[in-house]
Amino acid sequence: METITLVLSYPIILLLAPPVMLGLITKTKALVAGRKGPPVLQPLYDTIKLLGKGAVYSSTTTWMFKLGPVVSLAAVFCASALAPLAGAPLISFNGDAILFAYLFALGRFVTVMAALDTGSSFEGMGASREVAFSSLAEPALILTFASLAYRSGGLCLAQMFAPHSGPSAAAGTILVLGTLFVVLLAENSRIPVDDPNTHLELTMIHEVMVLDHGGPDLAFILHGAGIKLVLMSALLVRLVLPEMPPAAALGSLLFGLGCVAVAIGLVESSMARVRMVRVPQLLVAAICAATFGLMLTLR
Amino acid sequence: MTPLAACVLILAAAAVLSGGLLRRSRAAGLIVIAGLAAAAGDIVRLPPGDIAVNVPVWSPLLTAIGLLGAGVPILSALLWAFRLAPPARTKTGRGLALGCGFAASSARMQYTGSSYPVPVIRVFSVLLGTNEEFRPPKGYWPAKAFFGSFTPDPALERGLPVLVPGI
Repeated sequence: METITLVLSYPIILLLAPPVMLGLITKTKALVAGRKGPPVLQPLYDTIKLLGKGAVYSSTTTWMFKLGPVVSLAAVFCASALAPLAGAPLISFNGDAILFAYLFALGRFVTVMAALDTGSSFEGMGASREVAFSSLAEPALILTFASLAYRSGGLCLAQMFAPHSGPSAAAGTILVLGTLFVVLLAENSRIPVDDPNTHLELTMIHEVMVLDHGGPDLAFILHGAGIKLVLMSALLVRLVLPEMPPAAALGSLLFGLGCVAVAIGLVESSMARVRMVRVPQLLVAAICAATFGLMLTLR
Repeated sequence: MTPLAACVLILAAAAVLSGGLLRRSRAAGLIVIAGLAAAAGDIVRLPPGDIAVNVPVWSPLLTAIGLLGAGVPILSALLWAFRLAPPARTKTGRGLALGCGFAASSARMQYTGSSYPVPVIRVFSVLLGTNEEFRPPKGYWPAKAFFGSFTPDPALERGLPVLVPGI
């Protein structure tokens, strides 16, 4: 039973959950704003449409530009093998949390290189901002992993995100959850750090880097971004899930992913993005929260 | 069959199915993807114990790291191959890079080693001690302006002279 759940969970989570989660965020925002909104599966239809299209490449670009989307999607696919989803991860070893974080960094690196390869000053600007903000989000993520590693006594993600109980862990867990949520918003270019729907170049961060991509390349980028959102949300959900049988764990995980999508939608509906100069302050606050979480765990 | 191998096969089947649905004309690319994915699944199916018989220094940790280390380039190659098989009636063309209406970009307008990290340097300006010199344009028809910044090397130019006076 556990094997069947494991086998079922990865294709669902890698192929279907990303567009559904993005669709749920859009639907929540539409409902809060009093609109009907596009269907929940609209991102899936968009991806399929983009995969069937041709592409236009800038005459200034080289092979690096074409490499970006494929490597970034391959990196998140590999990161998904390390993530504990409905049960034990496919691949697990001591220290895999570091590899997990840096597979995301690899995806970001190639996206940045592809953006710089166009020679467009807008995309260079986006690449510069993306790297600046992710360099601040990274310490928060690593401190969170350190806190969870100390609490669980294990160095792999499967142990860190295993169900855990105990009064001493409660305060630390709340801080860890809060930090992970801020890192999730920052890493996935959501409001209040970035607005995925904006097309005003001067305020764009992630989206400006991928402006020149089209067709299958854009489909790879959008699906990769969706998988990244799902994986980080899955870690968040795993922190609050109790111990349960694998089939129930898969159902609870999918329900939890839906709840995270609605939460992101509500955050995006209730506030505007913060000013660009305030983003580092938000991320430094996340680092401070992660540090306090670690101190509470060490206490 | 291990769960990992099964997942790889299901993903390969999904790739073939989506390729079929999209009426990709060059089916050969997809057959290559499916074949490589199945081969990868077959390799993965070998438990570390079996390999250990032949290679005494093999360890589960190295297997895991090797799988992931090979995974990124292999998956990238598969996705690249998938992209090489375009559907009928679609074209791949060349065009101008997006410049928001300004397409005459030159090398002097590109990000440099010092301009690229400015957002991070601003955040850590207290620690890094970056010197900036800015002479803004003046008047209605400004002739020239200047901006320069220099970040001293924290070790060689700030740390070492303090530790070793007179260097």
